[in-house]
Amino acid sequence: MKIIIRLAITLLFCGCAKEKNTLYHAYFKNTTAHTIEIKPYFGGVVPSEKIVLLLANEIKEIARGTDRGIVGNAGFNSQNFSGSDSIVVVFDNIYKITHYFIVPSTTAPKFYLLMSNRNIYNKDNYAYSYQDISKYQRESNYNYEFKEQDYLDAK
Amino acid sequence: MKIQKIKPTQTTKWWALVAITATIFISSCKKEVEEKLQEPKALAETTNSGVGTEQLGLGYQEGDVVLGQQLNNPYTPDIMNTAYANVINKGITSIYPVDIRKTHYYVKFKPQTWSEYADLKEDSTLKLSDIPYDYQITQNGNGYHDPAINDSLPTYQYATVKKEFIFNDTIDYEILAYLYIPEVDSNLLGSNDQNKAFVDELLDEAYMLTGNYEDTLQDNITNTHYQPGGNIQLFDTRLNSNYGMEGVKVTARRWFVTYNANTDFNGNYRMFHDYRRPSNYSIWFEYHRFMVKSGGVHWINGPKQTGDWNHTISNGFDRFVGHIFRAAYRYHYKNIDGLQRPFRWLGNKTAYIAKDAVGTGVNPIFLNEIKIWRFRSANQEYGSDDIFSTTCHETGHTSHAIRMNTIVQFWQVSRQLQESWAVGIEWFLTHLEYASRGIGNYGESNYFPNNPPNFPNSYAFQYWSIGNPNLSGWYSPIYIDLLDNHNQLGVPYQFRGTGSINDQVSGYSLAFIESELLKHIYGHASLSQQLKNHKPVWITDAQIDILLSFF
Repeated sequence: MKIIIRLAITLLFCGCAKEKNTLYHAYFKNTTAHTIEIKPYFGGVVPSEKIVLLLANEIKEIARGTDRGIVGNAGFNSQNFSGSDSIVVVFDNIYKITHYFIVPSTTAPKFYLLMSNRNIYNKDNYAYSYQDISKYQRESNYNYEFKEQDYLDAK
Repeated sequence: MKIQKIKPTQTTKWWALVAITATIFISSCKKEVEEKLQEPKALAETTNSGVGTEQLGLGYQEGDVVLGQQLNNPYTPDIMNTAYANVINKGITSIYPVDIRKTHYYVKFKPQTWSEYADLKEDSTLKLSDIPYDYQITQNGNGYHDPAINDSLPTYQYATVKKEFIFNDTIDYEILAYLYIPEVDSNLLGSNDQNKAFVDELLDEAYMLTGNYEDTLQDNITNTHYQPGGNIQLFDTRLNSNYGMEGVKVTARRWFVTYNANTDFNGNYRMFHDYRRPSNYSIWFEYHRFMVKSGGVHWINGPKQTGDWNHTISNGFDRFVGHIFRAAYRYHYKNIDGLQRPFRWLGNKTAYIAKDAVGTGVNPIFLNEIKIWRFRSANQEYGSDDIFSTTCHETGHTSHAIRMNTIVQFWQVSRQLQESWAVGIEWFLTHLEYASRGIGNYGESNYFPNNPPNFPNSYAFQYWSIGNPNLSGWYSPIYIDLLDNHNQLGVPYQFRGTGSINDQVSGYSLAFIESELLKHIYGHASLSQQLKNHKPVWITDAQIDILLSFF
């Protein structure tokens, strides 16, 4: 009887596929004294609901979602910016710099390419941290900080 | 009125344990049950009955149904005999002989456990209801649990059964009333319902005798015949629109008579029987081989009305359940491009437990229960396609275990290949579903909309890499990479990095892998061997080795 009980318990636990997952969040933080407007372009159009406005020292969430499994620095999908062709960052409603995912034939006067260490599309430009909530769940955070140099690059 | 009560025999805990263990072993060792795929029955063409809707019930809202006062039962033989005498006294005669007798029982089943509830649900002749038939409903809703029963246990199940019904004596029940139901007495009605006028007089008299005036024809201005029918829609967050809720069962009940129909692709349904009086409409989230449960089978109690009932499941828990249902419905009954149906060993139904809390999914494999959660985090619901995808993922585990023939063999498959198979299944089926609803490239490597889906359905999961070596990497696109003709090496993905897997392999199909290879695959070595032994002519062993080296 003991053998049967042990086997049943073993099967009970080993046969159970409890899914693991990783919740992620991504944030923009404005560390400058300037107002920053971040505008994603989709086929030449900027949907107003996708625009993010950051006041000085403000933080806003730009992504939240779930990946299957306990994953490392796997990046994220953004509700505001995923699927866009390019992102234009405007400082103080005057100075602009464009972040490209794919470089068009004609570029804006000031821009960051994907491989730039300031490009918003590049997940490696976000500070990554995580916390394991349980054996089955991790929470990952991605933080991108706008710095004074970004303002100077756009100016 | 309590007429009869039969107690079940008690089983000891030891015997229960032995039974569970034996079930596991039998399930594990039982050769796969071959079942001819059941296609949904052809549906009656939906047409507007032309009868104006007269809504007698209250508006619908999620929450518990609230019962009002108990109604006097007009269908007992005593009442029917009195009604018959009154009708005769009015000079109304029947074309055919009247034989009022006990033909049915109104029964209250009392399952003590969820296992007993499942046994009841396996009986396809039973039309069970959580709500008693002989009570007023003062608030419609989507749940009812008898206050006398602990919330963790199944509530009473009410049903009408023929007097010849053979009860399962291991499940407690109580016969609440003996019934004579003139509407289903074919001898009384005659061929082509020639005697229907008399039956209507008899029913009206019985209703008036018992104070159920709202059921009389005299109290219903639009008392022409109608075939219960209508349309059920479901809102989809991915499509941002409503579309037909396919496959659900809709019932229309009048006292102890219940008719039902299943919705078609457009959400239309139509029953094959007529009513003249208002009927209680409900939606049931179950089909032949599966059910979606929230406690018992989830249902929506609609209005009591004549004419068509149209309903849109626009949000809330009902919508969550709706998307679990449609995923299960596709996997069990619709086009899945040659994949195996996930029909359980021994023919048992799969129960999907809809959890109104934070989580993802769990499949205990050896039990007939798959749990799917509604929220990814507090106050943030999963999208419709996420729910669909997770339901397919969990069901994919079941199908995989069935394919391995025994749970013991499934257990020996590496966790990465277990999970990656389920990832491949959810990706493939979710693509099929949304392609059929208008998003042709859903889930493909170029699919990255401005509100991208979770799980493997954006960029076809091509951004995945084993990453941190301390991580298991269980959930990988390995089976996706065997199908697609996209090499992600060096390809940039927005916010996801650059593809790092050199995938020169393509041309396999999930259906082929499942039917021919899967039961021989336990780890990378056997996967590699099976792939090489059955590779497409344009693929080399070296290309397979390169691909597998990334997982």
